Amino acid sequence: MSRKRIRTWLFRPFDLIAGWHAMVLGVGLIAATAAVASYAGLMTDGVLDLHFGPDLPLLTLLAQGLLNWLVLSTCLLIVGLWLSRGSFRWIDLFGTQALARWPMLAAAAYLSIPWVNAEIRQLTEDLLSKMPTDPSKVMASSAYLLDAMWLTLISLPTLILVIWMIWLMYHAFALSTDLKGLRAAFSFAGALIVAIIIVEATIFLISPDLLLAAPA
Amino acid sequence: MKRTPSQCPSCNHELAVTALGCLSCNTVVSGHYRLPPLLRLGPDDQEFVEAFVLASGSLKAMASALGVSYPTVRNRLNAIIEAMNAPQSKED
Repeated sequence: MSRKRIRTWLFRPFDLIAGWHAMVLGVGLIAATAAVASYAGLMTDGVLDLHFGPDLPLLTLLAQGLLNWLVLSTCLLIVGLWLSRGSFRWIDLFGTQALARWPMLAAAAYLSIPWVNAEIRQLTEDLLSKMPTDPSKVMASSAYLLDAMWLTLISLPTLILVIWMIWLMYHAFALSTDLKGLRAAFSFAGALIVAIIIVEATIFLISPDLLLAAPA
Repeated sequence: MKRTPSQCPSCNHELAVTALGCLSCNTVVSGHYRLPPLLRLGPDDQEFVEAFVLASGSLKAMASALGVSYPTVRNRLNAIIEAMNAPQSKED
């Protein structure tokens, strides 16, 4: 495979794949992400969220993954129908948005590495326990600076993967709706913010009663 | 066969036909004849339109033949339609 082709697959994969193929692959990756998250004790309770939390049943994590994908895709569809000058296929938008979430699987896989998993959990716990109870007091930064820096460093791959995912989501949206430039960027950012709020509100409203009650 | 150039190689502006010659009697007609919209497209776009017609106007078949996704082909077609419409709207 040529370098140009590899670059396209990494940064503009939807130039090459979209529609049903992307959707089947993407939904499979969302399910795989839920499985890895379940194994590693992670949560995906937000459009861009991936963090440690209580052990959730696999079905809850799958529901979170599907909710994140469907809400964002629907918001982008509405914006696309409103702003796009030509017609476009909803299957391209939903399919590419599903596949754009693959870095989340990579991030979950990274956080499931036992050493990384244990180190991040331990450092987070230590740093949180050392936070002053009085909010007016600042944490003794010099004493825990190294721990905080080390935590940031080992969390960096996750951050990079999330940024990569956002780029893929944007590329998927711009390509599927044929929007370009500032029009595409601002409409994507707006839809993303709305989707984040809707997902957070939905999870807040139905969880834990519904989501956490899902059988393991 | 050589493709009709659509842009001036010197200043990049649009080219027009200023003379037409009869291949039989060598009569030359001169004037200012604007190229039809398809010929005003760049060589790559002309090739794309040709392939599109040969694929019976199927974007799916085009995407499959070119090894790219459907929206990539459709967006390319949208850009060509836009390019073909732009000069027409000026003329109107």
